[in-house]
Amino acid sequence: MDILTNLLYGLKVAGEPYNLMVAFAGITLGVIVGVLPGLGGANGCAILIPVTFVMPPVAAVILLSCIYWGSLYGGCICSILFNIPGEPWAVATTFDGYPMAKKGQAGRALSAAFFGHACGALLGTIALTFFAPVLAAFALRFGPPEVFGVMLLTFSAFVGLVGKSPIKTLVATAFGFIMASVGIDIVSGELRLTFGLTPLMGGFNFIVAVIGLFGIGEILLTVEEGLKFEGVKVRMSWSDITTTFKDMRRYWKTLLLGSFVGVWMGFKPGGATPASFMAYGFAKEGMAAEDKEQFGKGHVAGIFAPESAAHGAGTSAMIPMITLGIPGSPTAAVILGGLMIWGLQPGPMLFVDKPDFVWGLIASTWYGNIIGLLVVVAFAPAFAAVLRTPFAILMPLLIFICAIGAYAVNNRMIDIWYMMIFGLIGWFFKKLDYNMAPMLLALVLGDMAESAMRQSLIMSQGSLWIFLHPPITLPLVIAAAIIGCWPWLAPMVRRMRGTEGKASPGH
Amino acid sequence: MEGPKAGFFPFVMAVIAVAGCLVVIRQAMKGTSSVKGGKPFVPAGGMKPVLTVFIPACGMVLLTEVVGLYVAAMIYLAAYIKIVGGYNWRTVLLISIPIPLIFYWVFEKIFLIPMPVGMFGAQILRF
Repeated sequence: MDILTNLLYGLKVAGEPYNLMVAFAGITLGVIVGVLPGLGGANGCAILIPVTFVMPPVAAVILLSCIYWGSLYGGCICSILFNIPGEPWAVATTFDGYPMAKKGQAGRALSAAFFGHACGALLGTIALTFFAPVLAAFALRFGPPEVFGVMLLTFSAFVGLVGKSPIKTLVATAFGFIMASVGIDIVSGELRLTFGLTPLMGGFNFIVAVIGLFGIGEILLTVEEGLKFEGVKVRMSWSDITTTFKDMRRYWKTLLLGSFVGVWMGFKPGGATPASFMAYGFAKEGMAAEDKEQFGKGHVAGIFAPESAAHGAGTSAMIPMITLGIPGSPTAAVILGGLMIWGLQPGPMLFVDKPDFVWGLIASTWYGNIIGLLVVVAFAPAFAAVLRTPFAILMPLLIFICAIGAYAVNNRMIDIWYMMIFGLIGWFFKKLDYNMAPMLLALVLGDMAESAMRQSLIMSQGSLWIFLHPPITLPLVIAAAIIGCWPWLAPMVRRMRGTEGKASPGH
Repeated sequence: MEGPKAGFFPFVMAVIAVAGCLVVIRQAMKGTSSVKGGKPFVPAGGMKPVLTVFIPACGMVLLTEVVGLYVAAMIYLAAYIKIVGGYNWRTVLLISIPIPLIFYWVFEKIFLIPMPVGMFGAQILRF
């Protein structure tokens, strides 16, 4: 089979000693980054992008994606032991993970989380290997209207499905697009929204925004509860792992459900965060009554569901990233940005022009996740000990590292200030329940979405009908409209079906 | 053949943002939002830790303009560990001096990624 040949080729590329070493370094860094609150997959990758300038693109993307896998594995350590989500998607894990840890079952909880991740990774990687090339071939037929249609679908999926208030998500998205327009307009070369100020001419770099929004913002949010990171001590033992195998056999349906939800949400851009919440909700609904009681008090399935979903989403987020150039999650957005910086054009042509890059990446996803599982199972207590560093030492270090990351992007002092401002914005917006992810996605994709729209309108000589007519754009736009309006359609649908009186499924 | 000019997209987005905000305000006033209010904006006593993190961080950035990132980091780390952490001078110096120096060595010498030097940083770190 063509795909298997390509995969073997990719394994040869990814198996080169340099790349293997890079992968291992990436995983370790990723786990550390995932464990530390404030630093997450997205800004961990962002901070290290400048480092990748000296590497060949294959090694660079292997490093970044392994950081991603590592951070996925590591994020749950913080949630389970400290009740602090090391990543936004790890919030759902705190619901059952921390209670389990308090009950003395920390090792079992951690092991469950790690293996849940492995299952999600497995499904996601299979999807990546077999689905991505198919999608790429299909995507070669995409023109500007189709690209715009996909973008519309992406953002309306956020508005309609993610978060508690669709209007707020819409505002956040629009805000992100406005920020993306600051600076030089890509299509006409004019300056926009600079108010005559030179620093604004360069616009806002998404890496700086990520570090600020998700890094500093998250730190500020965490310390509200107090200037401390307290945690439960843990030691992983063999019995924990064997218990987990038993748990996995018992709750295999939850694992499968979680992984599926994850892969679906990562691919149809949403990301690990909504995926984890959805999976938790679905798993809870699907449980027998006594089990349902236990959810929130320390039920193993309450860990299996969100963790497998989060990792499945993280892995499958790479699919639209390399095939369509649309990142499925904030971290994938950062990696996408990296691709563009390295001079690679994400999209279907990538499969054609640079097969060693693409298949090297896919192959590294296979072994990266396996290495990740081994590393994290073996060294979980060591990683958890990192968090035992006293707050007064750890916190300024984190800020220092973030500042390095922000500056390294463009060698501009103003970026460090932007980082602080974004941190404030991130903290503020999160308090007011505005979702940061679509804002970030809008910042990354703004230029692409805008030029797709403008080119389409040029093609159609100003007529908006172009977005409704070709065979691909029309269903995309219709799907976008339906999903975007889902929060208002869903109650109507439910009333029609006669299931009135049920509370709306928040997530 | 001309498409929409540069102002079109930001304008449309701004209209969406403002309209959305108006809806959010109206929802909040009428209490119909899907997110219930009533919680205090910051948990009791929460502003103090936030400011304790944010203001010194801004101070570090300000210092960076003057003496460069690495020296600023040393001062920031030292001040923070001493004042907020309350550790003795030995611990403070043992942490706040070597760590930025290690980063300096890794980033400046190995990765060759320069960090801001500020106005006087070049004189202080002369290697």
